[in-house]
Amino acid sequence: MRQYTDEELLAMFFEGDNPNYAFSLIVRKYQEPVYWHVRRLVISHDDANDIVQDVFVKAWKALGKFRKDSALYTWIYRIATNEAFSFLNKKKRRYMLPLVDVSKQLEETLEADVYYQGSEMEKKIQTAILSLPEKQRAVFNLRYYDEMKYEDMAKILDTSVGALKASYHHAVKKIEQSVHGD
Amino acid sequence: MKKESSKEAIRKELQELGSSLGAVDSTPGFRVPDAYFDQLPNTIQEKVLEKTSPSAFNLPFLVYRRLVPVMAVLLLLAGIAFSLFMMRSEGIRDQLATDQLDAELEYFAYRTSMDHDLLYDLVLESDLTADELLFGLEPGIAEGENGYDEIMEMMFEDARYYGIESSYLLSSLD
Repeated sequence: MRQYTDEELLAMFFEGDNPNYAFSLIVRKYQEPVYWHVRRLVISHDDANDIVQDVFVKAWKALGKFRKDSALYTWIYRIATNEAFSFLNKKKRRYMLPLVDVSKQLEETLEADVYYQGSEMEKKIQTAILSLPEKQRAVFNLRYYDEMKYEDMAKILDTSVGALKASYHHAVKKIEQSVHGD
Repeated sequence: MKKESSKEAIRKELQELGSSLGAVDSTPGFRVPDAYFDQLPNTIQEKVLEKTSPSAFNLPFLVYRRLVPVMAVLLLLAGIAFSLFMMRSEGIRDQLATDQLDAELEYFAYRTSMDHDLLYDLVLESDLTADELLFGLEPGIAEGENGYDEIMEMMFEDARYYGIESSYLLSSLD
């Protein structure tokens, strides 16, 4: 299937005869990157699956008000990041967990997840990533796995490029220490 | 999707930070069920339709949040009112079960040529107390023109209150 640009997809949605079709193309284009981004944050496949569906429902509801001067790519990632953070916060509130325990719980989820088959080294890296604060985790994932520009990350996370670079560097140091420290 | 840098640029950045993470394969080991991404668009489409189709219960969350306690209070009040009504009806029912009152009612029905069962039901649904009934149905009073009118007036009033047509009540009187 032909890969449409964001501009083409938005033109089809706003000016075409069939916005449903245009939206289905947006889903097909972004489902995988959005899923992997959410999955790395919430770890469990089932949770990621629910969140991704909610992300696209929200996108559908809000797309009519989308400002065409912003990028569809960062807009969808922003919704996904907020949904994943909100899920983790709800989890924290529900079980009244401090940050350390959330990381521990996510580690347990990773261990028990039948859809996780990483090597020992990958597991070590994931465990180290899980010990980071949520936002730093998102910064590291977006840069390391999604290879995203700091400028785009700034739009998604509402943070300056300088702060993001500093956060990424800190995250790398901590992970390095955790993986090779013992 | 636009990307500032390839994996190589990211590796270079990691190298500059003195990290060996750039040398590690960055595939994180997460997997999905078979054909997951083939089915996901349809699942999302269904969910979009389900969430955006108009529904009888499509009220904003805040309205729901206020409506639920109000409904609960109304249900509670209705329950209390119903219990009181049942207690009162049971009280009269018990009293009607006494031989004296039943005999009085039978006699009154006979005197007025009124259907006994209808009279019994009307008395049950009425606001009349057992004492008022016994007093009103005293043969001496009921036989007198004033006593009869008084009881009929009370019964008509109660019948109106309970939505029973006066004509229906009259039709059952001879």
